[in-house]
Amino acid sequence: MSRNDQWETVIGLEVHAQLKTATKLFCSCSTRFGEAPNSNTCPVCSGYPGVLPVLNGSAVEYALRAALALGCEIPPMSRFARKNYFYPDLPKGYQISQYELPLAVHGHLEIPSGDGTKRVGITRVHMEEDAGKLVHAEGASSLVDLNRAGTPLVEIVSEPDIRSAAEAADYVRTLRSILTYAEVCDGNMAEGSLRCDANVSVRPRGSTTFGTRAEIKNMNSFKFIEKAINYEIERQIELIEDGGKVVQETRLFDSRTGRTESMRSKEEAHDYRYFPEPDLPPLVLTPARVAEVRASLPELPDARRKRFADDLGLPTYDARVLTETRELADYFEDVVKAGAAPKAASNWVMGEVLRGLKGEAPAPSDLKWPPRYVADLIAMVEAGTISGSVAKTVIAEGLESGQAPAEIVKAKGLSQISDDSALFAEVDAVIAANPGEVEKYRAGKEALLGFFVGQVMKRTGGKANPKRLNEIVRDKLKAP
Amino acid sequence: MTATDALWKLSLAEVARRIRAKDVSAEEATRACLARVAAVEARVHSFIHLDGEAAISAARAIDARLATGDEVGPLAGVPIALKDVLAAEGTATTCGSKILEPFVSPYDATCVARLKRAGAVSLGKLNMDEFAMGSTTEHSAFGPTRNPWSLDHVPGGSSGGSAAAVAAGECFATLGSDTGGSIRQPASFCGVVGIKPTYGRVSRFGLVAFASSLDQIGPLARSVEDTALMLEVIAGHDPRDATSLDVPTARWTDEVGKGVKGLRLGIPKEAFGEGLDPEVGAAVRASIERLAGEGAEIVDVELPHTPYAVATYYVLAPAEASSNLARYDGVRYGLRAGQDGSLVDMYKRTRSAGFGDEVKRRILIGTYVLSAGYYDAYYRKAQQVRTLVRRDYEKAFERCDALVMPVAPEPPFKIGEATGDPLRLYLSDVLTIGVNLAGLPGISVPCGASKAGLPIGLQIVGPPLREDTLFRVAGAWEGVSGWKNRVAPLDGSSAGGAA
Amino acid sequence: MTIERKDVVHVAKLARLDLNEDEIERMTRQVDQIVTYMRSLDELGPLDPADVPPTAHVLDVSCPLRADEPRPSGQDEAILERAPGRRDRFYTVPKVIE
Repeated sequence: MSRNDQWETVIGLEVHAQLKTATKLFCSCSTRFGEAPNSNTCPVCSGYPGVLPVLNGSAVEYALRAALALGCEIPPMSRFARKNYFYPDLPKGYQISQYELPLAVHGHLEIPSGDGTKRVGITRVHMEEDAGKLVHAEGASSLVDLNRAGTPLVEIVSEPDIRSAAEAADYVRTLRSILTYAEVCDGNMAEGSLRCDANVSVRPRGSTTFGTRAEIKNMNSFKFIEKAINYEIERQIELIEDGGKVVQETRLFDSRTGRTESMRSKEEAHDYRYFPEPDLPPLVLTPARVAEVRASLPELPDARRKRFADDLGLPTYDARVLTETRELADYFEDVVKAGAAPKAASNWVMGEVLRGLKGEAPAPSDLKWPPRYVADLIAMVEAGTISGSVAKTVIAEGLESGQAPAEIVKAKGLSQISDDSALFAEVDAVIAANPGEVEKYRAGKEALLGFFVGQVMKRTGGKANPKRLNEIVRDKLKAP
Repeated sequence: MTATDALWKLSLAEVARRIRAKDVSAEEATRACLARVAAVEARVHSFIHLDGEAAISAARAIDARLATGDEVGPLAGVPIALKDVLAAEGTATTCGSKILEPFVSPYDATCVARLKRAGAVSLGKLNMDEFAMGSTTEHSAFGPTRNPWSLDHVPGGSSGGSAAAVAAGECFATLGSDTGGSIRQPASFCGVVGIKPTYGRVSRFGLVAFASSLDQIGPLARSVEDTALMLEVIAGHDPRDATSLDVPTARWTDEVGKGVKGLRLGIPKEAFGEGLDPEVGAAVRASIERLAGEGAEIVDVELPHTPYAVATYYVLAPAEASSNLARYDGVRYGLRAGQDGSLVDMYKRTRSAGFGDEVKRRILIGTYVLSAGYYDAYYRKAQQVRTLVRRDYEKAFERCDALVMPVAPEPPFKIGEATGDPLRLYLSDVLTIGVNLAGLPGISVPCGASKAGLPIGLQIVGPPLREDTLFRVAGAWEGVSGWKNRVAPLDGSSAGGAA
Repeated sequence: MTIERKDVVHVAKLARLDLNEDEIERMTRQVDQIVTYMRSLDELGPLDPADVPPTAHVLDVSCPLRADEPRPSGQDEAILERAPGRRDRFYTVPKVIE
């Protein structure tokens, strides 16, 4: 009996997503990434004596978009609260967050599960400000940069509905896709725009109570999410099987060792002493305002995936891959709009276009080829102007140069040879050069047809129209 | 023209009129006040920072604008001063604390900017209980302020410097802050007028926070009219304070002479109960009778939760304070004590060296009531009782237009008398803190003096945003009391008999 | 006794205050006196939050919103100048070990 049969893993995720506002949550400083240290600062985000927070309206709108995209209920009133703790990257000695009355509750999202989906509940979505950055320098000092202090975040807390590391990664992937569709977050995990903490526990399969959980921090890629959680699951099972007990604690994932390490060294247990933020009156959102924001949401990945499958007839897998980001889905749809058949468009976008995105152009908008060119290329293949293998060469070339497909074909002379007289000459030459093979073929070894076709292709640089070539070779080999 | 050496005795309204009429210059008015400061400051100690040179150059700039016929504000050339809890660009802003002793504010509080725009000339920053925590101004890291009417006595607090400076004639008006009575009680102790406006009436931007849901800035001056003039300048909506109310301000100076005929004045019986000093009670009752004689209708009302107000306040205010004072950590500004050891060592050393006893006590109380396991029993409960206190006032205002009562149950304490007994001092806030808990406007006007010559104040409390009623009642009382524009002589004589 | 020495020690730690023995003794006594006085609120009995909701704000207004328009403070240098510990454009603090 494997461990998997004996133990069940229970995972809840807390994802922090940075909202794409131009300014910080409570002051008018810029949120631009990568500026000189402590340059996007003012008395407010530096925690000066006497300053007060004023809430960024766009941050509220973005947070609301995120919450509605996750199917949340929006209570008529939410409230900010102070979370009190001392740390050098927290200028006021408290973080303004939401606690008892969050912006949104009771949402959900669907993650892939076999051929279908699995629903993961969202407990709450709330707004809060980010902390600054602590830089661990050489010598006796650590350095503090407050550029990021006060950047608007939403924290999205899931129900403990996730049962494996792979599901956790799928959850974050799905969430990221929804947030980028809703245009509230750029989803960049490497720059920290999307950060994930996991509460992980194990329990004997069949048990209905929860085991003691550990909170895992610092997983800044999908790969690390899976690695960290898998490590932690194994660690907890081993610990329990050896007669030990899981301690409720925060553990940091170390990507170099692939292990999670206890953060007990950092500080004594926290007592955040939350209380309502007296500097900000409660945030009241009218049903009309909520409806307005809801109406402004674009088609979300779930709906789009369904439409791609049902209306365009794509396989489930294709629909899922193509809808992972809004930009890719838009790109694909533009290829179809430019006249390509959906399945052909899907094959080309999922194949060659996605391959192109792995290189220097990470987003479809960075691609040098507009969707129309892909449609043109598909049309050329279908018309027999070029072969499929030549088309791959054309698209690779085009993604580099930005040249239109017809231009590339013309410039490189890549059009197929469909002219019979030209093909006759090539086939005759091959037959003349291989008398032994001809004899064998005629004696009944018909599998040699491919050999002759291959030889012609070699001589024409792959430009021979394969369908016509097959017919001609067969004809010529029939009779002496 | 009055001799320059007596200019400092004028009312703010009068000196502003003379400056605008160019009967006196802003510089003359400023120099007159500075001369008075030079004569009395060593005894009173109202100021933490006095900047005479800056004041004179600001006054000259006003004079230059007057000379060219430029538009000047309503307070053009009038010397004023600021409680050191208000941020003023380029000046030290210490809050009476060692932890901010090295701190110079890089920005102006909204009320400070509005005073500057109105042409007022600031002489400097005034003494206070550290971070506005106290009611005697003895809890200042820079030494106590003394009551100008009797130097053995406290001026009240926490805006003790603000009240004493006005009473001593060092300037024409000051700004203070009031979280549980910190404008009204020192105004009462020093025989001047002080108003705590409705919560949200004056922007708190630039007011160093003590308890943010209770704090309000307000003016102190030697007459009701002068106080109204100051409030007209500093009140009004400010987009930098999310708790600032977007409501119109008014010409409150017009209310001062309207009289009380037809107004219903409520007398809360709880304010006249056990613990009220007989002299204070007698002076306040006499004032109420005079107001009745002026045509006010007197009605008895109840504020049944008054006995719980002090406990409620001393849960909520320290809780907010413990959080508001967390930013003083030695990282970005102000004091940092020593470089050695760990981060936590640096925090503890800095905060322990920087904060005084009373501040530490309140941080401990506030941290305790918010900490895990105690929040519901203390903080949430206190917030609920705050609701009950608010309802008491709402109910009372169904039957009257304003409440009239004492400010403090006792006349001013002797210096050093109560420092060892914090709870006794907290209990003496009983008549002022309900007003903060409910966010109401309240004004303190002089209503007499004790046999020992110590001033006694009368408190008038109104419904939210009804400062107009307060100025009407206070103005009517001032008109019949004769206590107006009195400056403490500081020549050994006392406040004199009851007015 | 509502407050004991250990409570004061714990709370002082949370608040990053160092108290000497005398202070601990005195603060325990005074804070106990004050917190015991606060318990007078218990005389009101349990209060049903449906009847007596807690007051966090006296204002009957919704949180005002600001336009999302960047305005550089122009004060970043002035702010850094005030730092008690500084290296280049960073604040310095004693080494933080994680």
